[in-house]
Amino acid sequence: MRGKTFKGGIHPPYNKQYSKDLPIEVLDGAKEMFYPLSQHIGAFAEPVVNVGDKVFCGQVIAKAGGFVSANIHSSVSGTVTAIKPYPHPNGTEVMTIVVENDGEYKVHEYIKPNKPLEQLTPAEIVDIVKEAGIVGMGGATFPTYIKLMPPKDGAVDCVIVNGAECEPYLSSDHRVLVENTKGVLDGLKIAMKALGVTTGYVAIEDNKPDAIEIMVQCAKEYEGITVVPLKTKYPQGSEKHIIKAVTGRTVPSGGLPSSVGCVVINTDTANAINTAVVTGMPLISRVVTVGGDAIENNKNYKVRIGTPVSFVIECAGGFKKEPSKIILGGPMMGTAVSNTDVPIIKGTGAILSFTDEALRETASSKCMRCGKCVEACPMFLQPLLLGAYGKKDDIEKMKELNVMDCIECGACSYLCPGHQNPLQYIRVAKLKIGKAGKK
Amino acid sequence: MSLLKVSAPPHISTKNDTNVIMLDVIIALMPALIVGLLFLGTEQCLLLQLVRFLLYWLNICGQS
Repeated sequence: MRGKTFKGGIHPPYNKQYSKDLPIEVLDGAKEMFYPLSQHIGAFAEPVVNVGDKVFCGQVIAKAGGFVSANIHSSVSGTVTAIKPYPHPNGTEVMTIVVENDGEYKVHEYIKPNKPLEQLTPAEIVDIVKEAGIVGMGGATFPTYIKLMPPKDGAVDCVIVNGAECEPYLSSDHRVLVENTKGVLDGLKIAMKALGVTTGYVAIEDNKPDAIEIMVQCAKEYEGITVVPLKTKYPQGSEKHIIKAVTGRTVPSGGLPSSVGCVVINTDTANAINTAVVTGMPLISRVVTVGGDAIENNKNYKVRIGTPVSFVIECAGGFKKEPSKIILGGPMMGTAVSNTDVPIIKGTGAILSFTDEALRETASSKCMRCGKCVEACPMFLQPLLLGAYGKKDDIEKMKELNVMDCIECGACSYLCPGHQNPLQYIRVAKLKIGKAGKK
Repeated sequence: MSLLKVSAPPHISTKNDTNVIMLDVIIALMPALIVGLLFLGTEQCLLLQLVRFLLYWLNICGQS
């Protein structure tokens, strides 16, 4: 059985052996929990609680502040002690609701199971997903309810669950696929119902044979759901590339997946949709991989959102070596954080800590035009030229070279023999173009 | 705890850097060199000396 795939891409050392067989452990909340008002792409949420208020598990503490935004819920019961700027994983300070955990985890009375799926209309499902504050949990954190609303132009004909998990070290999706197979499949079924489609795919990279096996077993009971094994390659988990691999369709430049009739949702998101619809519990916890060479024990934890990173690291036994970098997310696309006070947010899939030896940071030398980056670029761009123009701040030239199509996978920077970082310049250019477009 | 390092992703990079690739080039050219010496003998030696001199000269130019 040969896995399907796309053109380009790279094969970094996956290093999944450390945590892929460790079952998910459930972690209780820390004494103080932090809920940044921005845990998603789009407008900040607006707080609906005041300092001193008593909150319960699953209670809405901040309402979506616009169309592209999401509700934020308390993941513990306790008292709101402050609403103040606090370090956010993205490196800035963001208004954050601080809740003191009373350790009782009393569930809000509002949380009750919904009607069975057969009686729910698509609009009701979208509403439940919206109220539950579910966002794409693969890292992009795009509000899921928008994806589940059928677009006006062009019909969606399939839903793909993204179980590729192509980032090295990460195993959270793998564990969810293995341990919560039914939840993922039910979530997919719900998404299919919301969009009114009959075709669903679960796409899994072939370095997770146990997940594929159990998925194929369970998927037999579901109508219209196929399991697709994918070739192990980075960035297979990118939305556009998983569509290419599964359906053979190419998302046009600047287009959304819905323009080729596909909707892609992450494994953990599918699971969260199922939880929200079946139990009524909004998105208050997620699975996080703890790994890297500086950490004492590798773990897969089900963490309550809002838990500070330092607490999770302590639970995993602390550091065995002095870490030089802590990365939230995978080593290819994750963000390095300057301290461990930052909370776990909806898009945090992993906490990785590395020592200097593991990172092997070296000075960069000149570009020798070997073309490795061009060969690897999954979007068929020319990172070497983009990098060169980026250094000169020539945004116009970069636009001509379709810089906006870059998915920021980092394959070019990973492969560069001269340790150049074209991606850094591309990201700066994309930000500048984005800002100019808003004016 | 002291502040940690922050940098743009990706945080890992390949071991195949320029030095490794150039070493590969030298290894790949070894058979050609040996066969060249076998067939051409003295002429090849002269050529090698010329290349050596050129490299030496380039090196000096590069440093100044």
